[in-house]
Amino acid sequence: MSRSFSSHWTKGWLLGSIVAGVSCTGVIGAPDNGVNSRPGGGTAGSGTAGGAGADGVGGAGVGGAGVGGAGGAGGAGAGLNCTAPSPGPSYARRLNRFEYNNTVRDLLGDQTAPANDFPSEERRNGFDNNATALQISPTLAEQYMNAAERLAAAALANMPSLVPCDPIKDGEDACAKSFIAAFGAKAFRHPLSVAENARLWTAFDAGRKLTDFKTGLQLVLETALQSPEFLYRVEFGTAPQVGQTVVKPTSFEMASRLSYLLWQSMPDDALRAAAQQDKLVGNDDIFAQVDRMLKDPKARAVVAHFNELWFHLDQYDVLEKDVSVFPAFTADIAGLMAEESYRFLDHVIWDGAGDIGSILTAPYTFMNAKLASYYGVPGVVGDSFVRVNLDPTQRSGLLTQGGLLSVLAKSNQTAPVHRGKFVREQLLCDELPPPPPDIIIKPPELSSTLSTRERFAQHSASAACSGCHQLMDPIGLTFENYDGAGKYRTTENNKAIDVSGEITQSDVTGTFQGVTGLAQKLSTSQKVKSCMARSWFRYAYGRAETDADACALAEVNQKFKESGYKITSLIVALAKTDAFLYRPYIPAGGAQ
Amino acid sequence: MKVLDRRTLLRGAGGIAIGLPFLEIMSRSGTAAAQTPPLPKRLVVFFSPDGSIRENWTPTGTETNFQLSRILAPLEAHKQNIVVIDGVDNVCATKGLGDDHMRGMGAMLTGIELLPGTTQGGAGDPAGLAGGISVDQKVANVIGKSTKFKSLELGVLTGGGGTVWAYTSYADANVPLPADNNPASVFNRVFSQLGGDQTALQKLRARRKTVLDTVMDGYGSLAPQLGAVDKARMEAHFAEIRDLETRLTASVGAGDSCVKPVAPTIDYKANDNFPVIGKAQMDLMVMALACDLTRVATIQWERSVGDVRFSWLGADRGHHAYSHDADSALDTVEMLTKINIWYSEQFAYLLTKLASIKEGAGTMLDNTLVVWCNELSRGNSHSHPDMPFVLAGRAGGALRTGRFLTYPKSPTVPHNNLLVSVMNAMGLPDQTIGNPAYCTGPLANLL
Repeated sequence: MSRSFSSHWTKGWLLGSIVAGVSCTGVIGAPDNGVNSRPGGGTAGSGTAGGAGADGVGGAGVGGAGVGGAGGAGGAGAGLNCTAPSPGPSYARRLNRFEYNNTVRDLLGDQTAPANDFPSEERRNGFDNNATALQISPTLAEQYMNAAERLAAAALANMPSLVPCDPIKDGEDACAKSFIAAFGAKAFRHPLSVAENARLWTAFDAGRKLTDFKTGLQLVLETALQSPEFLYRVEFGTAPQVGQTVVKPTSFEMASRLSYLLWQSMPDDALRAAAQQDKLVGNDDIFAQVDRMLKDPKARAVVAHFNELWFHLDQYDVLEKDVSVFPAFTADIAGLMAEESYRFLDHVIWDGAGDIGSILTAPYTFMNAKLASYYGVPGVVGDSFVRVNLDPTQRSGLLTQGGLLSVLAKSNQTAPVHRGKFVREQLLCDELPPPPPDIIIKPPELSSTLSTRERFAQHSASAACSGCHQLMDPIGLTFENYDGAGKYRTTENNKAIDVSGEITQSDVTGTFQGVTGLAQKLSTSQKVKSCMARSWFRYAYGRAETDADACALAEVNQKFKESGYKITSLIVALAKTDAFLYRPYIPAGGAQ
Repeated sequence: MKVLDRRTLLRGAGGIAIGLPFLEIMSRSGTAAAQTPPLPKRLVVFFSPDGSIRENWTPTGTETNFQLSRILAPLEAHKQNIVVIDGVDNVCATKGLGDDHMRGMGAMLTGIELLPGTTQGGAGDPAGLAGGISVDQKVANVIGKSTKFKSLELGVLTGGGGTVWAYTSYADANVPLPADNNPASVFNRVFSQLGGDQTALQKLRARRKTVLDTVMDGYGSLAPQLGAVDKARMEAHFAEIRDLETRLTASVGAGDSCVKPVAPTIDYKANDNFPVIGKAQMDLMVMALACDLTRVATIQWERSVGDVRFSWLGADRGHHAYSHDADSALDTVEMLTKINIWYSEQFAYLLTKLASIKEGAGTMLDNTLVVWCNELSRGNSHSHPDMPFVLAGRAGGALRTGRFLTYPKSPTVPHNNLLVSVMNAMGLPDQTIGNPAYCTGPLANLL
C-alpha cells in the first residue's frame, strides 16, 4: 500500500489555503439578504458546500477556500413560496438532563435534580437537546432506574400529598385506580390509553402482592418514570385527511410542545385543562398560552440555559488558572463571575432593553463587594449583587465580563485566537476551517519583554497561518486590555497595549478600537442577529434547520427584526412557525 | 476492607446464584479439578491517545530475544507476559470521512470507516461516529452473557461526549458506550450490592424485574404506531431495558480473591488527579473481573486529541498540544516520550494487579487478554502505519507471550487482522471484522 499523503488533505479548504496560496480568503457565508438563502448552503468557496442533512450543521462549507457559509434565511424570504405549511422533520425527543430535572420537579415537587448524575449529552451544533443525538446507553438505562426508585420513594414518603384518596376509606382498588389515571396522565402528558392504564395497574398489583398498597404505588411511579411515554416526547399528530402530508399536533401534544419550548418542562394545570378541552388547536388559543407562559419564571430558566450553552457560562466554574500568574483568581471568583454573567443576561433580556445588541453593549453589570474588589471597581459593598455602571472606556456588555474573558484564555495567559474565534463562530456563526493538521499548534513562548500582539505576529507573517488567522487575530488582539483572568490592564511588560483591530469578511467590516468598539460594531451586524435567530431555532426545535424550514427561518428573522431584535420576541416567533404549529404526517413505519 | 466469604457472596450478590450448585461456582476458582469447566477468559482494552514516539517505543532484537525500548522499559518485569507488535497499520483509518484522529479512533476497535456526520475535525470532511461494533463488544456479546455486566467502560478524564474522539467502545454502528469517568459512580454501580442484606436485595430484584417487565410490555402498544426513525429509537430504548433486566438478574460468581473494594472519593474532574483516578479505575476494574461481575472491560485514558496536562511530569501544555510539535522540537519529543513511559507504567500496574489474582494454578492475567491501543501512530504526522500495539496476558493459553513481532511493510498488514485474532483468542470463530476490504484474516504468527 502506498502511504500517500492522505487524499483528503488535497481537497477542501486546504486546496485553497496551501496549494493555491490564498489562505482562507473566500467570502464568508451566505449573504444575509434572504434571497435564495438556503439554510445550510454556503455560497463560499468552490468546494463542497456543507449540506444540511436531517441533522447536519447547516452550511459547514468544508469545501473551497474561505470560511464556510454560515447560512441562514435572513429577512423576509424573497423568492420563497411560503403558502403551504412546511414544518420540517419532527422526531421523538428524549428529555435531556435539564428537562428531566425540571419535569420531575413539576411532576413530583422534587428539587434534587437527579439527572445531574446522568451522562452528559452529546452537544450537537452547540446544544444539549438535539433529538437525534440523545441516544440511550446501558449506563443511562440503569441511571433512569435508580433515579426512578429514589424519586418514587421520596414522593411516597409524603403519601397524602401525592395520593388524594384514602385506601382504607375509599378502598385500595378504587384509590389506586384514581391515582393511576390522574398521575399517569400527568407523567405521560396525555390521558392514559386503556393499555397504558392496564400496565400501570399491573405494576400496582404486583407491588401490593409483594408487600403492600404503598409498594404498589411505588411500582406505579417507578414504571411511569421509566416508560418511554415519560422519557420521550412522542408525537403522532392529528389524523390526516386523505392525501394530507402535514398535520397539526393534537392538543395534548401541543401542550407539551409549548411547555418544553418555553419551560423545558411538563405542561402545567392550565395547559392540561386547555388540552382536555381541545383548546390548543387554533393559533389564537396557542398564542395566548405563549404570552401567559412567557411571564412565568420557568421561561427565564430556559433562556438562562440557552445562554449557558451559547456563551460557555457552564465552563466558568471549572476554570483552572496558574496561581503563579493569576494569584487572585480563585474558585470563588470564578463562581462570582458566573453569577455576574447570569444576572447580567437575565436582566438585559427580561428587565432591560432586551435586544441582542444590548447584550453586547450594555453599560452596566452586576457585582458584589468581593467581585468588585477583584475588578478594582470602587464603591460596591456587601455580599449581594448590585447593579454597577461600568466605566465606558473600559468595559461594556458580555464580551468584557471576567468569566467569558477567562474561559477564552489559557491558564497562564490570554488567548487572542480563542477570543477571535468565539466572535467569529458564536456571534457571527462563521464556520472557520480548522488549522492544518501538520502544523505546530503552540502559543508563542511567554515573554517578559514582548507584547502578546508581538508574540502572535508570526501568524500574520506565515503564509500557512495568515489566511485564517487574519479572520481571528485582529479581533482577538483587541481583547488584550483584559488579562487571562479578566482583569483590565493598559500595559503589558511595561508597554502600552495596542487594541486597534479590524473585522474583515463580514457585514460590518472596518477598523475599531478595543472590545467596546468591537461590541458597537457587532451590535449593528445583521449577521449577528441572524446567527442568534438560527441558534435559537436549533435550541428550540432540538434539531438543525433543513431546506423545508426556509420559510420558518425567514419568518422568525422577520419577527425578530420587527421587535427590535428582542430575544423574548424571538422565542415567541419560534412558537408561531410551521415547524412549531405543524408536523409531518408519518404513517406507521414510514420515513420522513 | 473485608474479604467476603463465598457463602456471603452467593447469598448476597446473586439472586440466581443462590440456586446454583455450590460446586459449580466453586469450580471457577479451580478447586474442583474433575468437573472443572475452563476458567473464564477476560478481555481488557487499555487506550491511550495522541500517538507514541516510535524510535523510543520499538524494541530491538528478535522475536524471542529482544530488548525493550525506553518507553516500554517499565514492562520489563512483565516481559514474558507481553507481545509487542510492530508493523501493523490501521489501514481503515486512512479511508473515508473525518480527520486522522477521528478516523484513527473510530477504526481502532471497529475496523470500519466513520459514518457521515457533523463533526468537523482538523482536516477532511465532517463525520459522525464509528460505523460498526467494536471488537470488545463483539467479544462481550459472546462471553459477557452470564455476568452481571456485559462489559464495563471506565474512563480517566475522557471529557465531554458526543464526538468520535470521545469513545473507545461501540455496541453497534453509531452507538457509542460512554466511559464512566467517576470511580465513585463505578463503585456504586458495580459493587454497592456486594454483601449487604440478602432478603432486602432479593425483594429489590423482584421489584425491579416487575417494573422493567411492565415497562417492556409497553413496547407492543407504542412501537407499531411510530414512523421508522422514532420506532428505531424506541427499539433501542427497549433493548436497553431488556439488557438491564438481564444484568440485574444475572448470577454473580466469584473467585477466592473477590474483595469488595473501598468506595473511592476523588475529584474526578481535576487535571492533576489523573494518575489517582486512573489507579482507582484500574483497581475497580480488576476487582470487577476478579468477582466475575464482568469479563470485558475498557479503560480509556483521556480521549483522541486528549489534552490532559501531565503536570506531574513537568508538562506545561496539554498532551495533544505537545503531540503536534515537529520532530525538531527535541524537548517536546522528550516530553512525549515521558508521557508514553508513564502510560507504560500504568499498563505495568494493571498487569501486576491482574497477576496478583490467583486463579487455578496460575493468575487471572493468564486468563486475560489485554490490548493496549492508540488512535495514532505518531502525533505530529497523524499517521496510522506501525500502530503501537502491545498485547498482554495469555488469554487462557491462546496467546503465546514473551515475544516481539515485526510485520513487513509490504504487503501492508491491516490492523483489522489483529482485531480478528483478538476475537479468536477469546474463543470467537470470526474471520473478519469491520470492513472486509481491510482484512485478510487473523494476524499471522500471533496465536
